[in-house]
Amino acid sequence: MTASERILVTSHGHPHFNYGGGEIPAYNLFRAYREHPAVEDSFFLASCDRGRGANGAISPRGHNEYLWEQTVADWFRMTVAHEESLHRELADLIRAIRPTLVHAHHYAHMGLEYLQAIRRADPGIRIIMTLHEYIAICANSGQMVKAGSTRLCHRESLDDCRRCFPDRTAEDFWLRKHRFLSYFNLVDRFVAPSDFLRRRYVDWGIEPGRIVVIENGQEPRSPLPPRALGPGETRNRFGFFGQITPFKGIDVLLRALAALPRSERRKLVLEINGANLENQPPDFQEYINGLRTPLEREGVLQWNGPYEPFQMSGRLANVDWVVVPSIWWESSPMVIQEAFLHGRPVVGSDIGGMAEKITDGVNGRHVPVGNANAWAQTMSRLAADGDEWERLRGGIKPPLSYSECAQAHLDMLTARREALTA
Amino acid sequence: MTESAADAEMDNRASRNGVTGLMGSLSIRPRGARGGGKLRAPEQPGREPLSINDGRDKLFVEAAYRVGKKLLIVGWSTDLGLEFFSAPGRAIDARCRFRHRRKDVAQSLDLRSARDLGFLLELDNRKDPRALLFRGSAEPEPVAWFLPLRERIEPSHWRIVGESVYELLTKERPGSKAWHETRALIPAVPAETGKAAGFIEGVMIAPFDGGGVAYGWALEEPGKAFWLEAGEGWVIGLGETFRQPRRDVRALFPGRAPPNSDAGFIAFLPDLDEESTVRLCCVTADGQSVVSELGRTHALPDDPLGAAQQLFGVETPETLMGARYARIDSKVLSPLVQRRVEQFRATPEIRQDFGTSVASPDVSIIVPLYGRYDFLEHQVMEFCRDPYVRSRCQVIYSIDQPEIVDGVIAEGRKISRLFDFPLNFVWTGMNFGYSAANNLGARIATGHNLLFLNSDAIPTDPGWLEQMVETLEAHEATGAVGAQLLFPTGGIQHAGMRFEYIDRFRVWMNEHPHSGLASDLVAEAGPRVVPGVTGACLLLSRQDFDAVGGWDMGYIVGDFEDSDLCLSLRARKRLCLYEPRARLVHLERQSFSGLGLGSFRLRLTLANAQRHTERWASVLANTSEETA
Repeated sequence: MTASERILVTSHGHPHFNYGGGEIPAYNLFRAYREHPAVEDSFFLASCDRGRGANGAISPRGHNEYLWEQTVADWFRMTVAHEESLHRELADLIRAIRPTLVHAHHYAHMGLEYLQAIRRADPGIRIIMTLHEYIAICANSGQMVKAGSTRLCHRESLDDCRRCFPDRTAEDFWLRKHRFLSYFNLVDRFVAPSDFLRRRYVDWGIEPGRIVVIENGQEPRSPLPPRALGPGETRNRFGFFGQITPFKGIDVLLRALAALPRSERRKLVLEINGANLENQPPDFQEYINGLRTPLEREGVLQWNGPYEPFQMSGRLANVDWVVVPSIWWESSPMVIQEAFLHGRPVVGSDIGGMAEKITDGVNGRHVPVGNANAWAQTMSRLAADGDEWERLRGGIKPPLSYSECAQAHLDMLTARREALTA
Repeated sequence: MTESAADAEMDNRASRNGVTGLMGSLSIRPRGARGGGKLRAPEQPGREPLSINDGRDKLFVEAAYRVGKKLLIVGWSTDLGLEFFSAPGRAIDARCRFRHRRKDVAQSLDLRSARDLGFLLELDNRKDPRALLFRGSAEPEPVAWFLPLRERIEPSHWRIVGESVYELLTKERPGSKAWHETRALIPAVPAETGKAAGFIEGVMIAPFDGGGVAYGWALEEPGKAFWLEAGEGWVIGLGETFRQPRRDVRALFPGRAPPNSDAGFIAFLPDLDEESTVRLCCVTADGQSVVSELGRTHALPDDPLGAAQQLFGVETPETLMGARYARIDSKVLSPLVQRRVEQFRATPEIRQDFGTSVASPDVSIIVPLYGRYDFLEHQVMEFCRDPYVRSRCQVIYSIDQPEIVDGVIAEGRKISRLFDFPLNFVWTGMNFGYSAANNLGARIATGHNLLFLNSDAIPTDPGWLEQMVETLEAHEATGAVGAQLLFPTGGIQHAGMRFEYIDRFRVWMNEHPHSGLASDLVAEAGPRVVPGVTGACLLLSRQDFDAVGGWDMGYIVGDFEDSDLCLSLRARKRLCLYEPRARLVHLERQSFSGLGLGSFRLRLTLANAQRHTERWASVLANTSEETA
C-alpha cells in the first residue's frame, strides 16, 4: 500500500475548545488518518472564534492543525460569513497542502460554500462528509423536534416545516432544501454514524448509494472492572453524562425518581455529570432545580456537575449503568460508545440513535421515550437484579476504534473507486 | 274652489311636467288667417293690455325668452278661448304649455276668478318670429303682439318658465353652446332651495397637464339635473361620468334615491390643474345651485404604479373595475405609462459583466430582478451543472429596482466567482417595470434565441433548456416555447395558458389549467400547441422578438405582458408550444410579495385585463376553442 492520500479533515470546532460529539470524532479521525499506511499526510481545519469576529484568517494550531476564524452569517440558509477568505486563505491552504481528499465533518460555523471553494481550487479533490445531526433537514437546530415543544418530528416537508416557523413560507423551506441539496451535490460520499440518521437523510433526498453508515471511532482501552459492591449493595448506581438541555431528558429521570415510593427510591442513586444548565432558559433551570433539591436532600441524587475528558473514566467507575434519556432522536450519542468502551451497560430511550446503538436485552435496555413511570420501574427493576447487570455487561462488544474507523472510510473510498473502474 | 286652493293648483301645474290640456286645442291653424287680413299690430311691445273681443276681454304679453331652440312667452288674458299663431297662413310648432292663476290680474281687473288667466306659450325659435298673432275667441281677425324679448328671466317669471327651462336644459348636452346659453338664464339659488344632495369627495390631478379625476356622489332624483364644472365654463354632465352604485348614499337618503340609480360618479376632467376648483352643480325648476365644491386637489405622482395605487383607492365594485378603467383611469394612466416608455427608450443602460460569456450563444437567458434576489444563487447552481447552459448560453440579470443594484452586484460578483460562471448585469437606475426589464436584458443579449426566465423559476435537472431550444427550432411556425413549471410542493403551476372570458368582470383572463395537480396525472410525452405560455419561462427567437417589438410596456405591473407577447406572435402566425419535458420549480410571486394580494392587486389585475381585452378581443375569442 502506497501512502498516496493527503487528507484534510474539516470540523465546525476544535475539541480543545469545543468538546462536542462532532468535533471529537473529527479530530480523532484526523489523527487516525495520519497513522494509516495509505495516508501520506493529514490535516485538520477547524472553525474557531478567537475573539476577533469572523475575519476569515487561518492560523496554525499545532502540527498540521489550523484554526479558521469563520462562521455562518445566516443559519437558516447556512451562508458563510467571511466569503472573501474562501478565495484567499482557504484557497491558499488548499493549494499548499494539496489534499486528495477532504473529509468534511460539518458546515456549521463555516457555511456551505466552502465545499464549492474546495472544488473550485481543485476539481480533482474528492469530498466526503460526515453528517452529525439533522441540520440540513431541520431548521430547528437539526433536532427534528417540533419547534417550541418537545414533540418529536417524524418527517420533513414544506408544510410541516412552515408550521414550526410561521414567519417563513413554504417557498423559504424549498429554497433552504434546494441550497443544501445543491451544495451536497458536490460531496462524493456521505457518512452517517447511525443507520437511523442515514435513513432520515435518504428520506430527505440523498440517494441511498451515496450514504454509508460508519460508527464514530473510540480510543481503544480495556473495560473498567465492575464497581466493587459493599455488603448488601446492589447494581443501583445510574450515571448521566452530557449536556443538560431540555432535549437530553434529565427532567424525565428526576420525575421518575420522584414518582417512586420513598422506600423504593432510596434503593437507587442517580449521578448527574453534566454541564451547561446555567446556559439554559431560566424556566428550564428553575424546573430542574425544583426537582433536584428534594432528591439531593434524600441522598438519591448526586449532582456532580461538569467533567473534563480525563475525568470520564473515574466517574464511569462509580456507576453501574449509564442512562441516556434523551427526548430527541440523537444520531449516535458518544456517551453510549464510551460507556461500552468502559464496560458499562446502557439504558436509553427507545428511539433514533439510542434504540439503534443499544441492543435491548443484550448490552442494555430500552425505555419508552419521555415516560417517567417506565424509567422509574426500569431503574428499580435493574437495581434489584444483579444477574441482569452481569448478563448485559457480558453482551457488550468493544466499539470501533479510531484506526478501524479510518480504515472503514478508506475502504469505502477504495470500494467506490473499484466500483467506478469496474 | 277657494282662492288659496286654486293658487295651490296653479303651483301644482307649474311644477308638473305637462300641459294642462285646457289650451291644447289652441295650437291650430288660425281661422281666417289665410290670405292675411289686416292686422292690428303694435310696432313695439305693448305697454298696456290690449282689448279684444270688442272690449270684453284683455290680453297682455309680458315677456318672451329665448331658451335654446324655443321661445317661451309669458302673458295673461281674460279670454280663456284665446288662440295664437306666429304668422298668418302658417301652421307652426307653437303650443300653450299651461294656463295658470294670475291673482294680480284678477285683482287689478276686479274679476271674480284668477283661474287660468296666465299663460305660458312655447314655440319653435328657429323661425325667429318677432311677433305673435292672437285671436280672441269672438274676433274674426288676429291681433299681433311684438314679442318683448328679455335677456334675463324676471324673478317673478321663474316659477312659470322654470319647468320648461329645466326641460330644455336637460335636452342639451352639458357644456354645449346651447346648454350654456340656457343655463345663463337660470337664476342662482342656495343649494338648500333645490334640496339637491351630492358631494365631491376628492379630486386628483394628473401630472404633465394630464387632466384629473373627480369623484363623489349625487342623488339624482326626478327634476334634478347635475353637472360638474371646473374653471371657466368647463362642464360635463353626470351622464358622461362613470357611474356606480353607492349603498351608503342610499342608506343616507332612505326612499329618495330612485330605484336602480347609481349615485356614485367618477369623472375624468381633461382640463384641470392644481389651482382648479371643481363644482358639483344642480339645476331644478327652482334655479341652479352649487351643491358641492372642492378646491383642495390632490396631485398624483408621475409614476404609473403610484398613480394607479391612488386612483384605485377610490372604491368601485370589482365587477365594474374594467369598465371604469376603460372610461376613467386609463385616460390618466395611459399617458403616464407612455411617458415612461419614452423615458425608458431614452435611458442608456449600465452594465457590469463578471467573467466572459460565450461568443454567439444559442440562448441569452434574461432574468428580470425586482425585490428578492437570493434566488440568483439557486439559479446559478442549476445553470452551472447543466453542460448546455454552461457552454452555449449567456446569462443576463436585468435589475429593475435601483435600491437593490448594489446588493445584486455584490451577490453577482460572489456567485460568479464561487461558481466560475459568467454573469451579465444590466440596469438603468430606474424602475421601469417587468416588460422594460425584459427589453433591457434583450438590449445586451447576443443569443440567437432569448429565454425570459423569472428569478424565482429554478430548473430541477440539466437538459431543460436544450430541450426547449430543440422544440422551438423543430418547426418554422413555432413562435414561443414554455416549460412545465411546478409549485415547490410539487403540483403543476404552469402547463400552458388558456384564455377565459370572465362574465363577472367582463374581461378575458389568463388561466392556468391543471393548476396544483401532480404532474404525472397529466403526463405528456412531448410538446403541444397551447393558446399561450407564461413569461416565467418563455423561449423565442431573437428574430420573432424583434418582429413583435419586444415586450409591450403598456401594462402596469401586469399579469398580461406574457399573454400579450404570445398573442402578438399569434397575430404573426406563430404558435405557442408547451414543452412538458422542460421542467422547473416556480416559487410563484415570491419576488412580488411587496405588492400584496389585497384589493389593489386585484383592481390592478382587472385594469390590465381590460387593456388586454381591448387590445386582443378578436384573437382571444378565437383561442377560446383551443385547449391548454
